Amino acid sequence: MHSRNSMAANATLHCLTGCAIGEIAGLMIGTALGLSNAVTIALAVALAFLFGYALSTLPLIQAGLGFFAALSVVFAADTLSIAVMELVDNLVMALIPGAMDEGLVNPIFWLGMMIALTAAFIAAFPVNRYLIDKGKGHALTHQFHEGHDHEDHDHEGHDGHGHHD
Amino acid sequence: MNTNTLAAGVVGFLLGGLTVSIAAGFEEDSGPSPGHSSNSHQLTDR
Repeated sequence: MHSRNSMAANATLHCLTGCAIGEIAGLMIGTALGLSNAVTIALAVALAFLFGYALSTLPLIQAGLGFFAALSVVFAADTLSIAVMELVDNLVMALIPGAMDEGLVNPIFWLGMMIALTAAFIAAFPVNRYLIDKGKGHALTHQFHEGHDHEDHDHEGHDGHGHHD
Repeated sequence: MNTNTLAAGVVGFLLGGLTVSIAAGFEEDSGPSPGHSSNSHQLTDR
């Protein structure tokens, strides 16, 4: 029980890191250029998916999978998690007054990002927990990392979690 | 790539942005420093 929670937390953190890189880049670009909130959010979502997928795909390619095979595994594994994160993250940012309207030299932007990403983690954790219980989500990519755990610290502690039980 | 390192980098970046934006806010609140020009010095004296 505990190990599946830690596996879900690890999967959520993995997803969130890729999402956060794209999200922050998108919001920074949109806010700095003075784009409308809708365009800024669209840009942030696009970059979040791009970086989220990239962060999960690269280790699979390193593990020996072909590019398209790795991409199809990652699409199946991460899409729901990233979608939930993006929904919550952008919703929170849009709801915090001034977070997206007053530029990057505004502490509210950075505080809002922290609050939004924390909310996204909390929202996506049960999703990843559910997917792992079903043998989906991060569990799909996990099988390709087995045997590489001594090299890839992303997944240290995953051994013997028995997510298929 | 180590996820924990990347996550720490993201948190550090956010904290850095927050620190810089707060510092910029203080700079704006206190106005231009007296050494910047004689005009600003006179204005702040009044």
